[in-house]
Amino acid sequence: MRRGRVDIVSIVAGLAVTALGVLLLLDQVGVLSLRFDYAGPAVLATAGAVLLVRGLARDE
Amino acid sequence: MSEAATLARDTASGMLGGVCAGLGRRLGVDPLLVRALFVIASVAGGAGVAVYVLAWAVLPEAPGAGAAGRRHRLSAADPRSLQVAAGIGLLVLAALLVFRAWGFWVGDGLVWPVVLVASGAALVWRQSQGQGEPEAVVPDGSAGGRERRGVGLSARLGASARGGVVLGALLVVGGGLVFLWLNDALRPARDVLLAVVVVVAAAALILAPWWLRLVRGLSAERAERIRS
Repeated sequence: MRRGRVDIVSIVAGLAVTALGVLLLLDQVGVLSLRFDYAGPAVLATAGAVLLVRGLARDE
Repeated sequence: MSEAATLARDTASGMLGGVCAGLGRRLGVDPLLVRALFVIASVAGGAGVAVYVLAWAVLPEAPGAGAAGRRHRLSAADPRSLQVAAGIGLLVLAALLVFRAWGFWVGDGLVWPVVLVASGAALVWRQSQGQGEPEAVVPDGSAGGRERRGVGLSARLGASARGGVVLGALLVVGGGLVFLWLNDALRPARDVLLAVVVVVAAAALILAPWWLRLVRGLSAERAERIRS
């Protein structure tokens, strides 16, 4: 891996998956009650954001 | 007509599809303001997403979008265009499901058929807009490689464009049928359709022996002609 190069796809994918993981963790510890009505769209939005950024990423 | 007076997508300075940048240029306002309006309209009922997708499908790309924008434009044969389409589709689906859970919903009988029809129409529009492109843009270092890929992709583009148009048409027709079915408008047509199917089946059963004999006769005649 080259130093000093920002990989926007990895950053967005990491942030999206991290946000999803935080939501699921908060659900597990009981801070919030995640229903399927909201968990389903969250998973879809995570996958969609990753796909969109991957598709729009420019070749170096 | 000047470039600013033409309503077109400005992909060179746009963030996603260049719709807001093109609208801002046409209206003479900051594209950020147009983007903010689209975000507000998307949050308040989801109309912004639908309008954006429709505008992205309908509006042509600005001729002055620049070489930088054109160089990175995704062709229909590029696998990344599939990723972009799938990503936008998943995000729109997630937004619709959230609005449904919140209660900002006009009903399943209207929204899902509209989604199907809009997806199909966008697909057909994209394919029809891309058919005039002379080549698929692929970043490649070698001239030989570029030539090889250009030929292969242009050949594949024809088949994929046809497939896209067929899929889009099926989605539009399917969306219309789903709308009619969910709104119970197909019940009168069901009786007529059943009668037509029965009549066609009966006619096929009656005419099948003559048709088979005709086909066999023609085949035998052709074989005889080839032999002679």
